[in-house]
Amino acid sequence: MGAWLVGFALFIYLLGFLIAVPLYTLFYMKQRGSRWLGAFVTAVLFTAIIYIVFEVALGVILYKGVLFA
Amino acid sequence: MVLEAFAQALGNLTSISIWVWLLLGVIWGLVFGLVPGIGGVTAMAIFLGVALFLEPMQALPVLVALMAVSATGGSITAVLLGIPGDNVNVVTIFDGFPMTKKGEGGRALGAALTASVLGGVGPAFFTLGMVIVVLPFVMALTSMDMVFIILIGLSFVVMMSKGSMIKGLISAGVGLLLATIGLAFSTGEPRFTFGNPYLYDGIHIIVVAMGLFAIPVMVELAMKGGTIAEAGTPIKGMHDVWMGAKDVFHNWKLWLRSSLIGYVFGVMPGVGVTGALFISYGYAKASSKHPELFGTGVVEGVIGPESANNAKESGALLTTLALGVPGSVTGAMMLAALIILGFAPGPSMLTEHLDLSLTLLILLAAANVIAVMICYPLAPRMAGIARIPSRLLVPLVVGMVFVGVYVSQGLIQDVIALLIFSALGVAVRHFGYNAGALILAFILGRLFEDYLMIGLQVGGPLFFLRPISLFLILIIITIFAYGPLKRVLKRRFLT
Repeated sequence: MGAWLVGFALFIYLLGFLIAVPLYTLFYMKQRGSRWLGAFVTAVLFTAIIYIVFEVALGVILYKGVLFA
Repeated sequence: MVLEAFAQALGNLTSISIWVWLLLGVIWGLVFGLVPGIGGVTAMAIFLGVALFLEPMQALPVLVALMAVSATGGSITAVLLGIPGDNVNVVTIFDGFPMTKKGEGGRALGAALTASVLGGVGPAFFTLGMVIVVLPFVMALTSMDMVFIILIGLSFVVMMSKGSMIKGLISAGVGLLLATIGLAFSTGEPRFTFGNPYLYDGIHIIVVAMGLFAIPVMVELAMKGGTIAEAGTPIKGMHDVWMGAKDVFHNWKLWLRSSLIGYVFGVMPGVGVTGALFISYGYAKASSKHPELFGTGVVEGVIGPESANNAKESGALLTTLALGVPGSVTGAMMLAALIILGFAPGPSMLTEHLDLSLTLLILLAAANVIAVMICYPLAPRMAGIARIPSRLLVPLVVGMVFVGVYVSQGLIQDVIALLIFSALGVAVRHFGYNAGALILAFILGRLFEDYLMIGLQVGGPLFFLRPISLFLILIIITIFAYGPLKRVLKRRFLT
């Protein structure tokens, strides 16, 4: 689990939240036994909600990652 | 002045937006309370990340709702599924779940919910009265006295740690150490900052809160895997919910005393809820006409703990607002939120911001009522939420936590700090140390130094030679002497 957290943080640092979150969600769920479709839908939906709540509604820019800055 | 504040408080409540936010908080709190493993504290910690961007009158109703409702959602799963939503509901299972197995689930639920709402509302109004009593004392406090109030809080935190007191002391010590990181308040000299400007303001409270409380819970969940609630007992007999409600009125004396127990535990800073639960359960058993039936499904075994755990939040809110010292870990979250929103917890909350404090207390009561109104009809369906598989829950909560931490300051270093504190949090849980003591000491530590510096500047090195301060010092000595003194007296009188 520690590895997942460190990896997640690393992805956030490199690629930003809007890529790291769906990737983390997708792979974590898949690894624990979800099916591709369910994991994919959850990942996309979750990221969309985060985007809407934070970037659209609250106006905060989510970290874009060093590779994109 | 007090009447003015009351009038203003009631005026505050006419704004619809407050109620909307309160409702959102209630729903959020119930859902988090329902899902086993996360509870009020985690819900509040996560919300802190968003609270920063909201107006006080938007964020505070949510936080108050979370405090109020943290004990209610979990009662549903405790009774119907035998699984605690959070550790505040553990004792409810002892008799609540057997009742469900006997087919009396509705009754147990009715009793739990009614006890919860009455336990939350009654003390809240009592607190409103207490505010008036406490006010003159609080207004007489000066910064010099606050030093000792904080020491009292720290003493309670340490003394009341469940488990080893040494571990409690160490946890508190670590919290205090962490509080020193940053630029010293009065002199500006950097301490433990390693030349890194990120640390000049000290460690961010949200990082500590999430790292100690939100992430470790998810780590545990991830390691356990699977669904938390297995396909449990089918829920039958919801129509006797009313009977359960009537049971509470019938046992009103039990409810009253359990609420009192919970309330007192809430008021005492630094004390956890588990003590209140076991004592109220023990009291219910001892005062019952059929103590031997406890554990097989007796309604009094549900009423006691459920009144206590809701009453505790009212007491904790009073202490947190009035003294600026958290009455519980949820109180610590509330304190962190108040600081983030720009309020200085402590005497000013009862003077300058008295109307706000009164509004919050009323909202606490209201949140309890709204929560129960939602739960009564929807309870069985809500229990289904507890069956959410951990492989879904973990990434969602972890994702929310990481985003929340980042947006609170917009600093990517916070994410790294979160990793470090998560490691600390996991270690604390794993080795049986006290995360509550740590965060309470962390918050109190920074306040302590501020007040100490002010005290020394205003009063010189002998600033504590004032009646109130000396009285407070006496209390501290009593707290520490209580344990050993009891033992010495016992030996004297038994030999």
